[in-house]
Amino acid sequence: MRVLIVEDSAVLRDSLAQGLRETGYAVDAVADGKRGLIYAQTTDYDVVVLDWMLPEMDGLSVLSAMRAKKLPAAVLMLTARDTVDDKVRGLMSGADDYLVKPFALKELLARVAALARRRHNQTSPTLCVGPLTINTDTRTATTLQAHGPAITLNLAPREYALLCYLAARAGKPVTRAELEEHLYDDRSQVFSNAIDSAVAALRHKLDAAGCPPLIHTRRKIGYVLKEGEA
Amino acid sequence: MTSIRHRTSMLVALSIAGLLALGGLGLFAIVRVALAQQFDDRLLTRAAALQNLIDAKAGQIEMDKAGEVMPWYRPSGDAEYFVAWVRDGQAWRVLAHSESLGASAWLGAGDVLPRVGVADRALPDGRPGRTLTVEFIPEIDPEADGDPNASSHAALPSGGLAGTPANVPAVRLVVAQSTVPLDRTLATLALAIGAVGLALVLASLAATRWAVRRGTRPLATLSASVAQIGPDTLDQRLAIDGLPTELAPVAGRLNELLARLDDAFARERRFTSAASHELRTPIAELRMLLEVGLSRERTPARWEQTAHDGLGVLDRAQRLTEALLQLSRAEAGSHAALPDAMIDLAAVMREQAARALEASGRDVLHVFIDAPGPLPARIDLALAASIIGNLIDNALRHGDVSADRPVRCVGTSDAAATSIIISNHAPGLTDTDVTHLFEPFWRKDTARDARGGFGLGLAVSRALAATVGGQLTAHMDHQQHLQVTLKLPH
Repeated sequence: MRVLIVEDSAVLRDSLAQGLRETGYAVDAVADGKRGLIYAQTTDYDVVVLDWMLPEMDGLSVLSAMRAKKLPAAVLMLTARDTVDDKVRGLMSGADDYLVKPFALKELLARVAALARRRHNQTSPTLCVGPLTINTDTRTATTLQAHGPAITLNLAPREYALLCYLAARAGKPVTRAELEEHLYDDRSQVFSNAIDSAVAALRHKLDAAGCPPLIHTRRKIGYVLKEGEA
Repeated sequence: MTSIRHRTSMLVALSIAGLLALGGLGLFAIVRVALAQQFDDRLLTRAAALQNLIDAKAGQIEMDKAGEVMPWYRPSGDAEYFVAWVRDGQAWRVLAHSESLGASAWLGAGDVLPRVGVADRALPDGRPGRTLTVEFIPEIDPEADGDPNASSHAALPSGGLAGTPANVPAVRLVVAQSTVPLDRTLATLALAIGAVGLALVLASLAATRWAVRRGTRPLATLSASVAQIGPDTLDQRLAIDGLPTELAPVAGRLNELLARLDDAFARERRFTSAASHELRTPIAELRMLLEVGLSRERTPARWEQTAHDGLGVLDRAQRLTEALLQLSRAEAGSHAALPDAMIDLAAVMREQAARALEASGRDVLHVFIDAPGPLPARIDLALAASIIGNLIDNALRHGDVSADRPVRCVGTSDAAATSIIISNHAPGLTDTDVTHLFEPFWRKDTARDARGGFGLGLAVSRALAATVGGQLTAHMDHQQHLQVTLKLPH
């Protein structure tokens, strides 16, 4: 899941980016509205965390421009304005959610997760593919064994993000480029075989937990998460 | 509370009642005089009739019996009276009197006053009455003198003493009538006038109330319209079309007041919104900083960085709080006492430019000071330093400043006031921006200023200048220079 933060307060921007990254999101962060809009136009973000009062171009204008260009990213407006009028204005101009400063990190993370889910038309916080169950609220993945208790997989944030992204599109092939775009932000150094290594590591962990093979390679395309394929 | 409607109704009703009372009294007086005249005329007719019964026969004054032809002199409840005297030497002798008088004596000829004319007098039966006294020389009866051809009428003209034959004595006649019917008529009239007057007063009271209510209806409508306007509907305006000419200017002034109120409320809302935004931001920053810090295990170096970042946030929050306090104090102390001594603003300008240079940490700062002589002003030194320092900082922070376009501080002084104009090139600023310049937290850009400004400096400076009766104004000149003028009275 890739998130864009547009926030002019450096402290807030850096803290938010760190908090989201540590949760497993690929995060880009910019300080002004104009750059925010450029970023949103050039990358397919799942969620944009957008401050209202921004230099160069305010949050509402960025939002309107994004909606005019039919960008699919879900938008979470951040602002210190808390009157009902302000909230209505924000939501009316196309924001998917609204968070008033100051807010708790947990709340922000929950809302970003909910928006990301909605962005991919996923109504339930759990994704199930065969014996694999992913809870996007608790950010955990478990596998059911034929005989024995369910095992919770111990995944690194990026491995979880990879599994989650593939599971959300279960049955559909996902290209390496798409995976790169959603799993790595501009700060990450992505080597040419990064995705392949990550998939290999994930496959290994699933296998160790007694899960049948679920991630399949599609030659010259990428990967697909699917149950019951030889 | 006085009601115009009630007051006007009462005043109009009182006026009408007064006028009606005066009219009633006048009418009563006229009718009374007319009736009295009529009454006196009747007395005169009675007297003339009696006079015809009295004549002189052979030197003797005689009177025919009146009772037969004039039944009103017979005794009865509403009888009339007369007494006639004839002159007998120096005295008066009763010649005749009405039967109604009976045997009783009523008046003596000498008692009759006035000698000729009318007077109010009680009748012998005790009723109130009015008397008419006449004096005349009876006509000589020609038949009694045995000379039917003699024209004594011609020789003895009646009604006057002049030319009266010396042998015919004068007769004094008093006729009297009761005034009870007249008084009754007058009482009835007074009652009628009073009753009609009262009815008219009541009717006029109702009519007045109706008329005043109808007349003041536009006032009530206007009042209802005004009552509907609250803090949330200050953008409404009163409809002036259709208002009477007296109220249209009032509504116009009210609309102007509403516009000013709306403006002030909008400014206040902007201030509150901006203040809440500014105060929430550091809290949000600190909270996020600490929450993210605590969400994972961190190295001591990482915590040290977090502490530094947190201090930076606190530092800014502290400066904001101080600026807000300064603004609130300056606005509260709008009547500060003026110091006795004058200070030189030119020196303050130079000091503040030097301070700004030092604070900037640069080698050179493009501030040009033009003060040909001392610029005296009656203001506290610290206050002047605060205002001028704010203005110079503001120009340096927001202006497009270079060696070619320095911040210019120009001072002038005349008999009434000392002015300082601080100008800087401000390419992006519009005239509309200038109208918001002194609003707290107003910034050309909505973002928090990375250079540390809150948008409070000009607001604080204006409030401070006002405490000593000074003015701070701003406008754009033709070369896109922002000119901020500080004017301080001597």
